Amino acid sequence: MSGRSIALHGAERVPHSRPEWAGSVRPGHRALLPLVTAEAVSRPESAATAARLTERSREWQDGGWPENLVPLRERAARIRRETLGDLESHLAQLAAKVTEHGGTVHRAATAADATAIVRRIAAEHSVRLVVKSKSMVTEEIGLNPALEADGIEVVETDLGEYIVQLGDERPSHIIAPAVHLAHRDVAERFDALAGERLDHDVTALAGFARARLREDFRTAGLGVTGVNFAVAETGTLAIVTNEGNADLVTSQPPVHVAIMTPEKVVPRMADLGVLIPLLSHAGTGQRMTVYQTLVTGPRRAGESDGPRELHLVIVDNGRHRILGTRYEEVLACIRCGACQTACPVFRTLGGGHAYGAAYGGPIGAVLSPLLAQHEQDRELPYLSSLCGACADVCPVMIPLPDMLVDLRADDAASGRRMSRAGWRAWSALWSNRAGHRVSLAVAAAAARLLPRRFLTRLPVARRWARGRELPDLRGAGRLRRALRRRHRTGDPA
Amino acid sequence: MTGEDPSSGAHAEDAGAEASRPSFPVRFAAELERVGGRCHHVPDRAAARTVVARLCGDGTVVADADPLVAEVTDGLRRVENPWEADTGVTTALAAVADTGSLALVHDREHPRRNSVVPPVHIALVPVPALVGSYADAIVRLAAVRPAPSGMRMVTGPSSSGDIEMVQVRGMHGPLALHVVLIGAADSRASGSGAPEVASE
Repeated sequence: MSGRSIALHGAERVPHSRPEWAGSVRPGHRALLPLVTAEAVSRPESAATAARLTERSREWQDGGWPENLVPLRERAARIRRETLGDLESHLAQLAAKVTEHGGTVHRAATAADATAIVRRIAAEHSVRLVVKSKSMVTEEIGLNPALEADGIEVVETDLGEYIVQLGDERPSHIIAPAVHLAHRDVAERFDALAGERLDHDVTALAGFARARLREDFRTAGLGVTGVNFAVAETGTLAIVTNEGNADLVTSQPPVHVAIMTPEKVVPRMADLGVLIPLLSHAGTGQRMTVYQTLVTGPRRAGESDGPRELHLVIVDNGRHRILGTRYEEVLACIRCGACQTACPVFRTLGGGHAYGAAYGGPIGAVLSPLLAQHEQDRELPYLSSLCGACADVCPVMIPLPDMLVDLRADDAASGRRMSRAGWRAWSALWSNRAGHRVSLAVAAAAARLLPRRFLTRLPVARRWARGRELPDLRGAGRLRRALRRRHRTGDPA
Repeated sequence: MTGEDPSSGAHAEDAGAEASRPSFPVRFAAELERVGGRCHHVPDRAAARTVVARLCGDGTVVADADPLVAEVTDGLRRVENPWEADTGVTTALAAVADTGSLALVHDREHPRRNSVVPPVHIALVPVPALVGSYADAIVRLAAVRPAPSGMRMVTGPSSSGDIEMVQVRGMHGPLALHVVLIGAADSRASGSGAPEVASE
């Protein structure tokens, strides 16, 4: 039935130059967050990525919200929150409509349940090649490695996803997966894949990818997409792209598997008229993205394309635990990536890889610890300067900075014993005058006795301290002493 | 196509301001060109046929099985397999003046592939199919009965910004998009005017 990938032919020639923490498969345990982030910040590539993201952020978001989108933003925020208030009945309506139109709906509680469902569908159709349209939930649930373990080739057809797949990396931004790479890096990857030197013009490189991927759309046995919005009243799945790959993935292979999380449901078709212009503007600064693909069931009798089977997999993966809590609003997210582009910490880190989770940036720093897939994600809320830029650009007005603060408080309250004891000791020390004075004297003495760069000589701190210097603490407490003297002698300020 | 008031729905309150703005065909053409498409506004089907013949030249063509498309593409080099076609010619249910978008509906006569597989897409749009806003077009799509298995909103030729966030035109979908707008420019004012182009 399905053949082997042309697009990935020669992929073994592409060198993997990424750091370990950027890998396509998330390791069970990563190095301590300060070490990973220090390494990310010190990479020269990060500065170039930060410059690109900063420029785009200025281009797309400066001047605030366009006048025509201000009322849409308020309506969108309301639609999303109302839907969350009655999620199960909207999902029931969606499932009934998709089924009525001839689709099959699967509910999965966990990532493992969801991947098992897709593997079973692939096995039933003897699928050897899968073409995918960009989907973050498939990153979250680890779908590609699960299918590859069954000997199935999985091809990412979004240009950015294809580029990161060739380098065995995760996407580094929700809507710009290869934003951490320079034009030169892409050219090198494609040269290696082709086994010859290609034309390095950006349009020519895109054309190379187009030609390489074209045959795979025709021969794949299964097409996998995410879902941007699922309309409950009609059972319509809306998939938003610029490249047109979703249109090919949902029309050429004989089977289409669409994967969504519960909160992607919207009540009415008319809601798309509000949400899609906002998603377009917030994501890429476009008035409209090029394509919105609307799928309502598999092909009908007599139609010459469209999938013969449509499967909708609704995977919860921890979201029911967020509903009804003070973090519920985070599920209003429409995955535009605007908070990532706007976040100075995300930019300085050179994209989302250093967060170590499927979702980086402000939305990832809130969502990832709540999904609780990895213990270490609890640290992510600290990767923020709380500047508030993420809230300003959010198309559905999620109070991300407030949530980051609350998550830090949660972490401190339930925290690891060592750090909790440390904060308590500091609090006790600085709660009385003598303790405060002693701590300053100790800091000043230590600064005089130890060399400025002594941290770089400690084994664990060395990686973190590279390129850093301790502040000069020899004069710690000097200001306080001067003020006291002035107070005592009654000198005017 | 019925001649319903294109300024209805979400934009009804702007009716006064609407009157002083350029007409739907003018706005549509400007928006489409802004996103890299080309708009050809012609008075009738005969003129549309001339434009499409010029655009297709000696190239191969796949086309919707639709009376309007059949008339306009008569005499061109037709093929059945879209993967071998240079150009796909389709109709559209609606087109959006505000954004230059097309609303496509897929069924037996209008397969998905005609507008996405060939490197050039030509859409034939009667002027009365123009609506004001994107939301209006979504309302039109939602009203189609029975609900089609496939629908698509298209705004310009396919594109990608995935290499250094620089927008390049022409990715997996068509590299070029032409819209042939058929009918008198003032047919909006007369509602169901230009009845000879109402093909649906």
